[in-house]
Amino acid sequence: MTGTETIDIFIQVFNFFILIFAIFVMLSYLILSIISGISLKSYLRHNRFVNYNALLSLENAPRVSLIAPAYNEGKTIEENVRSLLAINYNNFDVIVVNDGSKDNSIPVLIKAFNLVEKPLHYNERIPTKKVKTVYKSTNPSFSRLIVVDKENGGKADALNTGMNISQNPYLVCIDVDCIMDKDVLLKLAKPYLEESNKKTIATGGVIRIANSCIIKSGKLIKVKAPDNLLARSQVIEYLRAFILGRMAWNKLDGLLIISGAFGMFDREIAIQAGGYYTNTVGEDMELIVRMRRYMIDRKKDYHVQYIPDPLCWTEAPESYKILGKQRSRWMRGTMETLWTHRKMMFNPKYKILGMLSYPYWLFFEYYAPIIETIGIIITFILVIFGIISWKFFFLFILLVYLYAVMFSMMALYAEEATFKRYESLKDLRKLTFIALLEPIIFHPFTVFSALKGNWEKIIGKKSWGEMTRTGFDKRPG
Amino acid sequence: MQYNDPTYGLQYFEEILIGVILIIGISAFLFFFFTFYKRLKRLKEERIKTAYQKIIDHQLFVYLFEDKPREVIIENPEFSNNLSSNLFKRLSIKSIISLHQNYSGTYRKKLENFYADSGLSDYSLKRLNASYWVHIVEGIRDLSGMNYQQAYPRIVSYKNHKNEMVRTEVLLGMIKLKGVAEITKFTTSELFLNDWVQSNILYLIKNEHIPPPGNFEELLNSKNGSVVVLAVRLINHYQIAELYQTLSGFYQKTTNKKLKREIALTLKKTEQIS
Repeated sequence: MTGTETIDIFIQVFNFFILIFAIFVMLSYLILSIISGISLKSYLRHNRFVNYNALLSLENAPRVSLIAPAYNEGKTIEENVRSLLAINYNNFDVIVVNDGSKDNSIPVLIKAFNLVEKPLHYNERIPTKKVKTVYKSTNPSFSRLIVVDKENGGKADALNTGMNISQNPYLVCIDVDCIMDKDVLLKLAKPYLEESNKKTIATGGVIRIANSCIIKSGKLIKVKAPDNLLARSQVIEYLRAFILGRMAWNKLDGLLIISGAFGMFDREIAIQAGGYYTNTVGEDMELIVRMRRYMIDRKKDYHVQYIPDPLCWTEAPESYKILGKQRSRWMRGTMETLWTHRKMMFNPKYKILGMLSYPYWLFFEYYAPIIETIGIIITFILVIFGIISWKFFFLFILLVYLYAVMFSMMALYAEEATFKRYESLKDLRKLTFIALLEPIIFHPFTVFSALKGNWEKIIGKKSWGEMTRTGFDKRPG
Repeated sequence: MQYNDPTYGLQYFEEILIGVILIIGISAFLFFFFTFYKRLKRLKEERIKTAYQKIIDHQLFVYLFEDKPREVIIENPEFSNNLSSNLFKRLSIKSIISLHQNYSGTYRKKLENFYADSGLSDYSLKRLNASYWVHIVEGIRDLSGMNYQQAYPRIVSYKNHKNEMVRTEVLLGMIKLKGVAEITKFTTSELFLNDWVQSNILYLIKNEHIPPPGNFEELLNSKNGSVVVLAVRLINHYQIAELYQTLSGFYQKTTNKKLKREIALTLKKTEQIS
């Protein structure tokens, strides 16, 4: 090749490594998709006979607290809270934690819901920033609402405050600006009713992209594929991740994450495990890993359940700037969780979590963007120096591109065969088009953002970054 | 020869690469094709469903409210010609069950007779013979939903089916057909009635206004702990005042936290009532 033995060996080792890594990534995606397909089919077969309203017949249905942290949400908070109070369930309360907002969130809530100060009995089982006031409504129609005003401490701290305030055995932690399916609590609670020998410690569901969807009075009226190409790319990305990925990890009992936008937890286990970790920007993933470790370390049988139904709709970033901040934060969160729980790596004590899930996240979620970038740069250099032919280079790029397209098509097929939420042919065409474009306009940027996340972690950046949202229409119709 | 050529390995590798690219490209196209094929097939099925539903709604309306004898409807070519279609049968059964739930008295009885005489009950009975558990559950649901008493022994024969969904549906079917007293048949069984199954039983009882059984003591003395919890929930639902004393005694004796909680809920409610 080059005539220099050392360089030749290096090139051969490099090529071999990149090739093996690529094959492993591709194969793992394929295997996970097959497992997902099988378990989705089984889930839908069972679910066609399920009547969720039956759960409302049970007076002792699991009592749930919805915890909604809010920071400077004054403009939309009233509509958001009304939307949460309208959820179809019998045993629940809504705890809004105002995390030291600088806007008029508290006055808006006091006026809208006739709130009055309540004597403070705050049992601080998890240490948090100081709670200033707890409010309850004088209007019996809003008896389910509790508003907590506290000093600013970040999302995790606000969630921990909600955990301390709650008197219910189950918690649902949500992003206040998400659109929830009205049966969300029924669906999240069902696995807790079905438990026999194993304790269900957490349930989580699918998050979908709400951009361009028709939303009225906080309800999703019609699902549409986003007009914005970046948001549409994320529809494909979410379909791949939730339909083809997490369902498989659930089947393997190796789920490491329940999305922060919403998930239901056993309150006692979450508190005993230490609550949300405030020093990470990936507190959702970190908590679920810690709860699982807590159960395994104490040799307790447990279960984490994933529900593949689309239950929560969120607004995706439509600009590269906001998307970049989000992805960089996700990468920092992943790094922090993986580092905190490094003891799990290839540790047979943690079974599938230690032997499969953790290494998968480390190699294919954390290292993948780094390896991908290094691989492309070195391959490009080898092409420039004529060591690898352009033909080979383009063939390899074509392979990667087609694989990404195939995987997106597979996700679209899975969606069409299961939940069929994109009803018009126009939407299907739009999604097919973006599946062809996504590997070019979206994926490289997410890789870049992941690298930026690495860099920001190295320089010690800890902030969340601004996440500007357009917002939905949650006003009563 | 070839082996001395340094580019030989690369050429060989390129050939493999082209092969893999072709396979992946074809797979991507196939997924694309099947997605659209599935969508078009669904749209076609929706159109057929709409047409069938129109016929079914019309015929059932004429039968129920214009007092036409059921033979006239059954022999009407618009109805009978379509009965060869399984989709038509399934839609008919669904519509009849839905009407059956919403009406009472004569209308309800008329619907039950129509279900039996039109041959739709035979279709549901055939589903019971299926090896696929989904069809068995559908069959049980349809037959019990239409109060088809003749199917009772067949439904009970699936009581110990290996599939949990079938077993649950059998229990619900038995309650629908013969009443809440059927639960006593599970007092010595090891079948665990989890809270989800129990919520389905309670929902059924509330929705169908099924009267209380006379043998609550038998349920309370069950060896099956989950049946005891269900019994307490049923007492709570029916508000059987004469059993509150018994429940107080149970509360003192039992160490089962869940049972204690359910009894406490019932007794607390009683105090509120009195």
